[in-house]
Amino acid sequence: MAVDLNQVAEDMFKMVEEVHGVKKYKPGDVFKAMVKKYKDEGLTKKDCKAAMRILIDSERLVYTYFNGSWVELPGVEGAAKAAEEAAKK
Amino acid sequence: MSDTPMIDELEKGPWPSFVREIRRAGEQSATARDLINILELSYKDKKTHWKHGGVVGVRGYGAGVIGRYVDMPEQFPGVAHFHTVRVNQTSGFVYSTKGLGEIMDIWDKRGSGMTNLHGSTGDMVLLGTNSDELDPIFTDISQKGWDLGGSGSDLRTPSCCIGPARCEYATIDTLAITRELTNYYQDELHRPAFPYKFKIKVAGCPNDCVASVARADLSIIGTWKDDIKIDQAEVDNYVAGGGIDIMKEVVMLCPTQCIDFDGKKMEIDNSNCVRCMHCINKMTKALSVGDEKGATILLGAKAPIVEGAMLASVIVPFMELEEPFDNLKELIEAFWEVWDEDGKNKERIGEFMERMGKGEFVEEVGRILEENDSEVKLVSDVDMVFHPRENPYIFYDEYLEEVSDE
Repeated sequence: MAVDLNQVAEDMFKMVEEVHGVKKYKPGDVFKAMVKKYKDEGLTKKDCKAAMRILIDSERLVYTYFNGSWVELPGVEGAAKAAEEAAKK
Repeated sequence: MSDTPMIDELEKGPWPSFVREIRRAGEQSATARDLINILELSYKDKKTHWKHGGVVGVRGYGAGVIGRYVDMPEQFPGVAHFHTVRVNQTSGFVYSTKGLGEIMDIWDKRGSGMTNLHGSTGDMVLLGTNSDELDPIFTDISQKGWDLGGSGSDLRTPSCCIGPARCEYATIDTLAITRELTNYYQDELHRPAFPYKFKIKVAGCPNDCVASVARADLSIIGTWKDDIKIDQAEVDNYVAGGGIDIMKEVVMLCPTQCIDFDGKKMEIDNSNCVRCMHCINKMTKALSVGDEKGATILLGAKAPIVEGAMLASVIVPFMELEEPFDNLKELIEAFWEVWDEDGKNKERIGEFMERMGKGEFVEEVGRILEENDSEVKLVSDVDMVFHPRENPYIFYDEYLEEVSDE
């Protein structure tokens, strides 16, 4: 495979970042998009998993569960904020 | 009057009560006390006060922690955060007292102390902790040699019956299969990338003590290919002993009526045997499973979450399984490949197979196996049916006659 996994990771990140707050992607959606984009370079799903791991381990993206598993930008959900505020009181 | 009259009802009667257990935990834990109070309120309001899912987890993993909060944190601060931690159970649920003690020490220190052993997937489910404790818990259990299990849209922690460790019927090494699949598919277990959850359960024989046929997306059930072994001397002992009415309790209950017994000699028409295990279970000393051992692979069972419940249906009638189980892994990955490509969000593989059509699904899996130069061959067959026909107004005999007339 000729393509750099860091580059794939960067593209994955941009894909998720662009729709942040509007739409969520499942990891599989991101993989399919990358395999299509780098078709000529022979990018595989296994490569995509490795690229995703770069993003997750560096905490640029996180896995979330909202009626299914997704990858998103890190954030604090409303319920967690409410729990924190209650703890402060 | 009690503050929790409805919950109190669940303590009455001679049977075990989860309320009684939570109250016992409440003697030491404010979390357990608030858990009882929020449950009473839910019963009163007739709605849940829990919020399920979210962002929480441990660094690097997308599974193993299920976020849970209450919608009234100020009234119930003890359960403001009440996250669940799933710890990967051992194969066959064989633990040492020391190992369980270590888990409980960690959980008493960093969580509520309440557990659910085992959850329906099989994991050790540790109930109730807050977000700040998640990474320390992960570090502590990792140092003791444990790992988190699956959750979300990923491979759930594979589980199995105790198999050859204790059971003479086991035709496959359920413990080795489960351990190998768990270790081999760590990425699929901890980093959700499937359309929805995928459960694997391994049963050592058709008795299916783990109920894989009803609970697992992929059921691996031990079976045999050759004949049931008959020890005629032991049959004579059963006849002489008189403890069992062989005709009534064994022969007449055979689903395919394939046992012939004249009061002394027993014969089985193995070509018609469906491996239900009934006769072997009843006459354990006289009958035993054959020597050509392997497994039947089934796909598609699920509980009624999004759509209705489904039972598994056979995909591979017989497969030999020897370590490192490469043939099984190739098959599983081909299943995933097809499902992953076109499965919708929250669509289990059984539902997907039904939507796609079982024949087409099997053909597609077979094509992928061929492309990957796998030794496993899969072709669709007319015997591969989801369930017996439901419409009695279709007369196949008539149809066949018409065809033959032509």
